[in-house]
Amino acid sequence: MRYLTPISLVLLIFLTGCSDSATKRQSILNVSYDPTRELYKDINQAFLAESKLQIAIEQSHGGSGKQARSVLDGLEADVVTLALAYDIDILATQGKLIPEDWQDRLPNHSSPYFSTIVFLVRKGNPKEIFDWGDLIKPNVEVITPNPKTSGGARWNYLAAWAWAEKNLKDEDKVLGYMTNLFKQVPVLDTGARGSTLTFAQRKKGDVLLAWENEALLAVRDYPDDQFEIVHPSISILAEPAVAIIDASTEKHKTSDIAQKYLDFLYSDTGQAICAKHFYRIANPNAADPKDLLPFKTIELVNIREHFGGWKTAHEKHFADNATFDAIIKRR
Amino acid sequence: MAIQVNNIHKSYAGTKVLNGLSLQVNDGELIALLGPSGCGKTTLLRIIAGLEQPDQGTVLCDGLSTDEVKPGDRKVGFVFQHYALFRHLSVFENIAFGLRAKPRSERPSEEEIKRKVASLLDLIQLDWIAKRLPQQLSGGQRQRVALARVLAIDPKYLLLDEPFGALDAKVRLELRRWLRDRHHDLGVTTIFVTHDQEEALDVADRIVLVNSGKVEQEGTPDQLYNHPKTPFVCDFLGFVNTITIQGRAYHVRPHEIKLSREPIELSIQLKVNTIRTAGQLVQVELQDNESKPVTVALPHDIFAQVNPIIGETLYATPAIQRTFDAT
Amino acid sequence: MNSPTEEPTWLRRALIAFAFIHVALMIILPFASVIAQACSDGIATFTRTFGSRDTIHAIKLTLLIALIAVPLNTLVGIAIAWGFTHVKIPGKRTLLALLDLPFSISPVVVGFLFILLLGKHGLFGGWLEARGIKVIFAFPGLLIATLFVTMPYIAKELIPLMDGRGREEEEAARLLGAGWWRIFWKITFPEIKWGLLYGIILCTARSMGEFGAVAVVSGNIRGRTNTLPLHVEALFQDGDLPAASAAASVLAILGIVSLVARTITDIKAKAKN
Repeated sequence: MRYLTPISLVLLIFLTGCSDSATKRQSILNVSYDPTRELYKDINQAFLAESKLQIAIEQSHGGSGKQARSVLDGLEADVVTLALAYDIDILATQGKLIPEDWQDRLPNHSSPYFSTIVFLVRKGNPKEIFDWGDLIKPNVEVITPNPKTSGGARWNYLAAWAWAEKNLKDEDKVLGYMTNLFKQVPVLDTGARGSTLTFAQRKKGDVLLAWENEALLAVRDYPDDQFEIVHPSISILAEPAVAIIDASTEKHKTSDIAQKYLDFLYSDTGQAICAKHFYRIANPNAADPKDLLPFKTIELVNIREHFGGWKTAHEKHFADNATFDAIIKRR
Repeated sequence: MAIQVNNIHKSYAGTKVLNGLSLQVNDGELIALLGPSGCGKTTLLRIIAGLEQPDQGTVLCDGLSTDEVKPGDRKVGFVFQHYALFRHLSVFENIAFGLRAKPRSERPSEEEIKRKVASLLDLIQLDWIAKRLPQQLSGGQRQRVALARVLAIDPKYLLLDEPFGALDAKVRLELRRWLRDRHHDLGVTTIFVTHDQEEALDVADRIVLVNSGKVEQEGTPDQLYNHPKTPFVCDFLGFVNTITIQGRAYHVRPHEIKLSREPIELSIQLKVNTIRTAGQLVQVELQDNESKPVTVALPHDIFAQVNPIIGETLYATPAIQRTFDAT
Repeated sequence: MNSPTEEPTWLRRALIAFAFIHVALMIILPFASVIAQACSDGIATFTRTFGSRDTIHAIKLTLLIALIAVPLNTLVGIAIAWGFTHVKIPGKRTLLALLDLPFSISPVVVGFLFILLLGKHGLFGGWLEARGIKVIFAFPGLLIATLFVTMPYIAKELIPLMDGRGREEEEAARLLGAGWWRIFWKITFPEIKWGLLYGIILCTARSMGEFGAVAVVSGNIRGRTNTLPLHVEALFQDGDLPAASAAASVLAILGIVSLVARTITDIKAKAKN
C-alpha cells in the first residue's frame, strides 16, 4: 500500500506529460513516403512561418505502398504525399476516402514536384556503368527496393522497362533483360531509404537505382565524395502525387488548412524548397538558379503516354502473378 | 451424532474412488479409517473436511450439510500427512495463524494469542522452538506443530490424514500414544486415517475398515481382530494362516493353532521347518504336504510341553473354527 | 586427464573459444558499436537527440505504455496462473498452449491481427469508428499490442510455482478459517514473489523493447505514436546514425539493467529454495 502513492504520482506526471500540446493544438497529419523526410521538415517550417497558423504538422514516413495501406486501415491522414499516383488511387477506389478525380484537383496531375531515376555508383565508376545495358554485365550488383512495397522501386522498374523497350524492341527480349537485371539484385529492401542505407551505409552493391533527389542527397551528405551520379540515356518522369484526404479533413475540420498546405507546395517558396531538396519543379523561375544545376536534361518517358497510366501499368506489371512476379520466379 | 456420511460416491477421471460409502461418528469418538492405499480413505477425509465435493451423497456435521457451511467456518482441524506447515512463517506464527484469521469481531487480542500459543507450545512440549521456521524442525516436531496449529482454533472435529506416515517407527509410536492421551484429555471427535493396522488397533475406539470405496467392516478393535466378517478383514488386521481341513478353509492366526503329536479331530499333518525362540512367543514354521507354509506362535511354556523338533511331523488343529465359506 | 568418455582437450578448448567468440561477435560487438556510434560526435549528439521533442515524446510514450501494461499484465498473469492451478478447467492443455501464442507467432502477425480486428475495415472497426474511438494508429492500439505480446511472461513464471508444493498449505490455511486474500498474501505470495518479480522484469523489458507488433499498429507518426524502438528506426532511416545510436543506447541500457535485475532475482530465488 505504501508504494501506491509514488506509483500514482509517476503515473500522473506521465499522463499529463503525454497529453501534450499536440493533442490540444489543432494539427494535421501528412502521411508521406520514405525519402521526403528532409523535404517536409523544411516545407512544414516554412509553411507555418508564412501562413502564421498556430497548428502542428505531424509526419509519418514509410514505404509508399505501406503508407497507403495504413491510410486505408484507418490512419487518419489529412494529406498524403506519396511516391506515385497509384497509391493514392486505391484510397479512392478501395477506401472511398477521396473522389476518383482527385488528380484533377491540383495542377500538374497533383504532382507539385518531379524527379527521375538515376544511377548512384561508387567513386570513379569502377564497374563502368553508363546506361541500363551495363547493369546486366557480369559481377555488377544492383541495389533496388522491392516494387511490391516501394513506390521508388516501381519507377526504377518502369524506367528499366522503357529503356529495354526502346533498345530491344522485342517483348521477349525485354523480359529477358528484366530477368537478368533482377538476377543481379542481392537484396530487395522494402523502401527506397532502406536501399540507400544498404548501398551507402552498409556498402553493399555496385550501383543503386535511386530517385534523383535521393542520389543527390547521398552525394551531398556522405563524406569524401564516395559516390557519383550517372544519368542513363533514358529514364522515367517520376511523379510523386499529393492529395487531401477529404474523409479525414471533414472529420477534423481541417479542409482549409490542408488545402493551404498543398497549395503552398506549388507556391514560389514551396517550389524553391523542393528544388533545394533536389526535386525537379514545374516552375524553375521560383528556384535559386544554383539549385537547378544538378538536373541534367535526359530523355524522360511518362507514365500516362508510355505505359497507359498507372492502372494499366499496375495490372500488367505489379499485380499478383503479373510480369514482375513472373520475373522474380524466373530469376 | 457428530459426523454423518451418507452414501458418498466420488470418481476421478472415470475411476470410482468412493462407491456409496456411509459412516457415523459419535461425539468425542476417536475412529480410525483403515484400509490399503488407494481404497479412498484420504478422499473420504477430504470430503468430510470440505476440500472436495462428493459426486453424490451428503456429509452432515452436527446435522448441518457441508454445502451450507464453508470449510473455514466449520471448525475442522485437518492434519496433513506432510504437515503442510506454512514454511514462510515461524512456529509461533504457524500456530497463531488460525487465531489471526478469525473475523475481526472474534479475533483475540495479541496478548491472548500469545498466551494461547504459549499454552499450545507447552502442550506439544516444544516451547523452546517458537521462533524457528518449519524446515529447521524434525519430522516429529513438525507434526506436533501441525497438531498445535489446528488445536488453536478449538476444532470440533479433528481429521488426521496418515499423520505419522512419514515418521520413523519410534517417533511414530511415541506420537500416537501422545495423541491418544490428548484425545482422552480434550475429547474432540477425531477421525484418523491410516493404512497401518497396528496403529489403528492401538489408538482407535472404533475402526472403520475401508476397501474399494466401501466400508468392509466397522467395530471395536476387538471385534475386527477377533471377529472379522470377511477374509479381507481377517487378513488386513494381522497375519493369518489359511489351512484347509476336510475341504474347509480355516483362517487362523499363529496363536490360534494348537500343535500335538497325536492326530485329533479336525487336524492336519505338518512338517516342522524352523523354530525361533526369541521374543514373547516362540515362532514355529511348518509346511503341509504341498509345501504351503503355516506359522504357529506358542507361549514358551506350551512350547516346552510340545517340544517340537525340526523335521518331525506334527498335527495342527485350529483353536478357533473361523471360516468364511458359504454354509 | 583424458578419460575415454571426455572430449579431447583441444576440442574442449576450441568449443570454449568458439562460444566466447560467438558471444563477443553477437552481443558485445554490436552493443559496443552502438555506444561508440552514439559517442562519435561527443556529448553533442546526446543533447541534440534527447533535447528533441520527438525523442522525449517517444521515451515518455514507451514508459507510459510499460507503466500501464506491466501492472495490468501482472494482475492478469496472477489471475491466469491462479485459475490454471486452482480451478478444474476442461482442456487445460489446449488453453496452456494458447497462452504460448504471443510467444510463438511473429509480432508482425500480431500487429496485423489487431488491424484485422480493430482497423477501419476490421471486425470491430465499424463499431469503434461509430463511437469515435481510435484504437489502431493511436495510443490504445500501441497499448493493446504491447499487452498482447507481454501477456504470457508473468503467468508462465507463476504457473509452475503455484502448481508446486504450496497447495496443501493453502488448503490448511483455508481450513483454519483464512479468507482468500489472507491465503494469497500470507501463503501463496511468499511462495511466488521471486518468480513474480522475475516475470515483471521480463514483461517490462519486452514491453519497452517491442518493435514488430507495435510498428504495424503505430502509423509511425513522430511525436505521437512512435515508441522509442520505432523512433530509433525512424532516426536510422533519416540517415542520422549518431542520433539513432544515442536513442538506441537508452534501450540497450534498459536491456542491461533488466539483465542484471534478472540475474539478481534468479540468484535470490535459488537461495530461497
